[in-house]
Amino acid sequence: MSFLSAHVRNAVPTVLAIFAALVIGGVLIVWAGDNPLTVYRMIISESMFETSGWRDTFTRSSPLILIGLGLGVGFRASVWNIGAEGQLVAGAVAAIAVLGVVEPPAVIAIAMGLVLGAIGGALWAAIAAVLVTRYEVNDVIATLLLAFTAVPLLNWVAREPLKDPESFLPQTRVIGSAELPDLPWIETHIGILFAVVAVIVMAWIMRATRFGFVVRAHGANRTAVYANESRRSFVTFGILLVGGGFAGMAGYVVLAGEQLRVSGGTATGFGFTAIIVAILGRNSPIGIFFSAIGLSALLVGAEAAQRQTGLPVTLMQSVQSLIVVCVIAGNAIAERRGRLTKVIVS
Amino acid sequence: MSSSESVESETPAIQVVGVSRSFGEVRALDDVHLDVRRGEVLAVLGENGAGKTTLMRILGGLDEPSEGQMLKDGVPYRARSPHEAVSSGISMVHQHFALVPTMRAAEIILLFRADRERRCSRDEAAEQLAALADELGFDVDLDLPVGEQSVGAQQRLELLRALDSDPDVLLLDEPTAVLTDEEATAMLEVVRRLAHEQHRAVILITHRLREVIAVADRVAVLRAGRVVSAESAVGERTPESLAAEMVGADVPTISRHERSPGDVVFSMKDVTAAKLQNASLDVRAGEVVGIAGVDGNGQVGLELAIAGLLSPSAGRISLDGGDLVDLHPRERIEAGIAYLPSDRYARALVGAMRCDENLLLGRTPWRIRGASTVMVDRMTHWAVKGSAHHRADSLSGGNAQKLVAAREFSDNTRMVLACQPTRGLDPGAAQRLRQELIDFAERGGAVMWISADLDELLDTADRLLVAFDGRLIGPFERPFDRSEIGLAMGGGA
Amino acid sequence: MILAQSEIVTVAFWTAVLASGVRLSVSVGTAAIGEMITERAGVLNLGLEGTMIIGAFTAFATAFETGSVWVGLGAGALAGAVVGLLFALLVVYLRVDQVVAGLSVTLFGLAITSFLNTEIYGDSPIPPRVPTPSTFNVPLLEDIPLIGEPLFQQNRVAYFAAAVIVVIALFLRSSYSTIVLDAVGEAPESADAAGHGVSFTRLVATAFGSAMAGLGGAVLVVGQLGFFNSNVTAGRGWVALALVIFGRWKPGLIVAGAVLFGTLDALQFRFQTLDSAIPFEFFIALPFIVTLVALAAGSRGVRGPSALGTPFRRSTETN
Repeated sequence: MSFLSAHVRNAVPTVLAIFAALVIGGVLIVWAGDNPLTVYRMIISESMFETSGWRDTFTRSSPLILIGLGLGVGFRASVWNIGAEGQLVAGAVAAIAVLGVVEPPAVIAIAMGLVLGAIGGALWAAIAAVLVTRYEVNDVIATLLLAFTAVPLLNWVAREPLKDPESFLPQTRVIGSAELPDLPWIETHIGILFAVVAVIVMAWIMRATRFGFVVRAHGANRTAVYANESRRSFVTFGILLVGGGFAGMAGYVVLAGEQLRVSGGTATGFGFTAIIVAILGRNSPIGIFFSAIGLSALLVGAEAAQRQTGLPVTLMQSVQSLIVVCVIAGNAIAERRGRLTKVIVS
Repeated sequence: MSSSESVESETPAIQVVGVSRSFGEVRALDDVHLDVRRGEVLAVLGENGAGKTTLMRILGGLDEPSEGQMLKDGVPYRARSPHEAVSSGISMVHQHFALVPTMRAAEIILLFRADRERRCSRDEAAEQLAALADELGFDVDLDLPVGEQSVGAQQRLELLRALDSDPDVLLLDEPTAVLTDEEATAMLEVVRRLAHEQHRAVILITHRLREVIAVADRVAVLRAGRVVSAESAVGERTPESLAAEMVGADVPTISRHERSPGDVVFSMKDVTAAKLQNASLDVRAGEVVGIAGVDGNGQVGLELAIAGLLSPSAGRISLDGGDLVDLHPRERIEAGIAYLPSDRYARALVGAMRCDENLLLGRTPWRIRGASTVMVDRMTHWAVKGSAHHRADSLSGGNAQKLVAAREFSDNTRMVLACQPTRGLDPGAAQRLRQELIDFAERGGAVMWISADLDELLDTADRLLVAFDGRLIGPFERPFDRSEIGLAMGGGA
Repeated sequence: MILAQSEIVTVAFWTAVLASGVRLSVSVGTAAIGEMITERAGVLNLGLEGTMIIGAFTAFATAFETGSVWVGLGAGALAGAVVGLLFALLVVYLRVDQVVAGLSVTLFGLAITSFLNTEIYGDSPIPPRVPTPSTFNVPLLEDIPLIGEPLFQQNRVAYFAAAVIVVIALFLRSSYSTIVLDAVGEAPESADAAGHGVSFTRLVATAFGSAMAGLGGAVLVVGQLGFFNSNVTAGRGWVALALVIFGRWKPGLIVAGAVLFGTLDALQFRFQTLDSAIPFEFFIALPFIVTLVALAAGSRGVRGPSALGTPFRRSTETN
């Protein structure tokens, strides 16, 4: 069986599962008093066939892709970073702390923004990394509780130390020259470009470097990795830092692309949606790219639908998780019945 | 005592009639015919891979035959689970113990009494257990969680667990594998009494000729899934003839030359790690140092400390004069230690990855360019049968070990740390691996060989140490005195 | 209303804090005890937060429609059990990765309850309420200083939940089922060889644990707060998971941990109005920080049930 046809065959249960989840979503739509076909059609058209929809979809997907890449690395290695939301916040705060005050030329400012974001996010993840490697705290709990801690911290930062002195609201200064410009013709900021570059870089890293090799091996048999390649704590630490770094960069992109200020509203839940992105993308860079766009489209469309029909966005958010459940269930059923070709860990 | 005469007339407790078992293309059992009577001990003798464990599992309810049938007391018998087997009166002592490490013996006994009528309070169960142990002349600790007791104690509890249901037939899979010579003798004595005095049927699976001669009434030899000789009375057989049947076609003997060892390559002083305590030894160039001993006497601590996976709490380890303690795995590789771990599927190979990728483990440069020709050549040299592109867990045990060796042995290897290297390998492959290790020593390398197989070490080692209770006893020099070494393995030195 | 620093040292203050603390601990403790049972069978249920909030919403809606708190509680537990059954089907029978499945359940639960709440009860800033049950005062005992009010002046639902927990703890001590439960989580091959259904035991343990989680959510909303909103559980499910580890999978320690956490929660709430230079957001984060510190101090070398998180496959089955 050729490489491609094996992958295509393996995709069948996934496609069926997504369809099943959408059907269940349709049932809920009916219960809410709307016509599912109308709603779905609206979602698709609003998110993909309207320029504003496209723009929002791309804008939304850049942070998701970035975070998803970092999480995908972790999940591949069975290191569960659930607190990307906190790392995103830390990255945004780090970026605004410096760039709200100094105003270097645009290119330098943007570069600084990415670096500051990555450092901020990585530092926040490092706290979790220490807890997990030195103190043997469970990785899910450590990263998540730190995310819960980051949100009140964010509120405080926006309210006091970094508050914009000229504003009445609890928010920071505007990010000046580090604001992300738009791409020509499409009105999306260049964040999507960063995301695409990140995908390519990550794909290369996973396939052609020692780091990627270790990640793949760690997910399959971590004992062998510890015995031959790397120290136990190193792998976990490194992976968490990478996850934090990417989430932090996403924080900068969110800040510099749309919000332009840091406030309580900076924590919009990207860190949690990215978990779904990574899972659905099967932890591979290309998969994450497409699942991020797909999920963003779904949400952008859902928001448009809410504006037009009053149907709450939370319905489509539920459908998102439902898609994950159906996909993992579908794949498990297919494996049980021997329908899946055993793909080598790659 | 000729017990076989007194039981001739009874229907055999177990009859195996034409049983075969295939796994895909591999025929693990081929048209096996056997029977066992009450009051006798039947030994089923064979090497690893001969099919003894498969036969045991089928009898014990963990597997089912592809062809053929079995009869218990003349009635067709088929067990779909161990529980069903027990209900039919057939109880199995598992090689890896069907116990729960965190529980006490009484609770485990209760666990296995799934049928309601025999359930009682934990205290009552403990009393019953103590009585049973007394009957057999056993010492048991009923208060300590089972996992914290010695391997020998766990073995005894495992036997008691199997006897709790008062079975007609007892299946014992390598019962003395983890015991010292002394404990083994005591265990075999109990086995004999279970058959002769308690009139049960006992099937004893083993690869040890000594056990067969010591305790069995009749013996059947299994080789490559077939019964080679059926059930002759033990008294009529010689160990040599049994060994020949067991091993079959000529397995080349190891060629070993006397060598004068060179300088000290590897040195350990007063090392304490896990169970190992105050251990000291040297390995010189061109020398094979064997570490004998049953599992659980500190060998794992020794292995992990040298491989850099466990930090010793005391002591010094050095290779070529350089400090070897607490190494990063890559440092270990660079220093020139080839490590063949005792559990190769856990520690040496990533089963889900390709063979050629496994060759890269620990040796990838920053940028991977795929397995180099050097590595692929090594796979050929070690005759690893299997495509480089297939998953590592598709290899047979012997080929998997050869893959590990292909990776670990390189031009700058100074010392080989071989831990139970031939475990799970068929006789031919095992012999070839042993020869490779000896050849390495003859070329001037240093070999540390940890093995629970005393016979193997007696054939290959230049010097021998015995691991017992965390201490290293010895060294013993050639010519080896087996009884002296056996005594050390049992703790009396 | 500012809290003066001098008030902190009074007995009255601490009695009130403890009383709140016990009240706040009930829902977390119930969920934690449920998860303990699930984990002792070898299943890691990260869907706890989602299950709690599903139980909370079901309880609220049922209590709202029927007017009865107790029916609401039952509905909440039932909803939890259903979620647990579905989760068990996924991870025990289909052998899906437990972490992924659990996270999905939680994300789904949070989203779906928010949706249902908005659809049924609208979006107003003043949510509809259900009446909360009355307090039950134990005469004499309630007058004991400091601990009298916390222990003997709670509402009926709290006593009910506490009773459930006590019954479970006593049952676990001496029952045969505990042996099977623990064996399934520690050495499933042995339990299987003994003839016990590993998958079935895990199914029951998971369903029961989820029912308790649903009950915990129900207790929170119907027994305590009287209203529902989309983030009403506020991370309690995750705290419950931490409590199971902290309590070493034993009921006594878990309950103690729950009370500690509840007290901390009550304290941080009051401290938000403390007149001091410390920003109030710090107090909001405090319970999570303390949980992290407690876990850091207590997780070294702690191993849960050996088979936790690993699907069971009989060795006769080929892959």
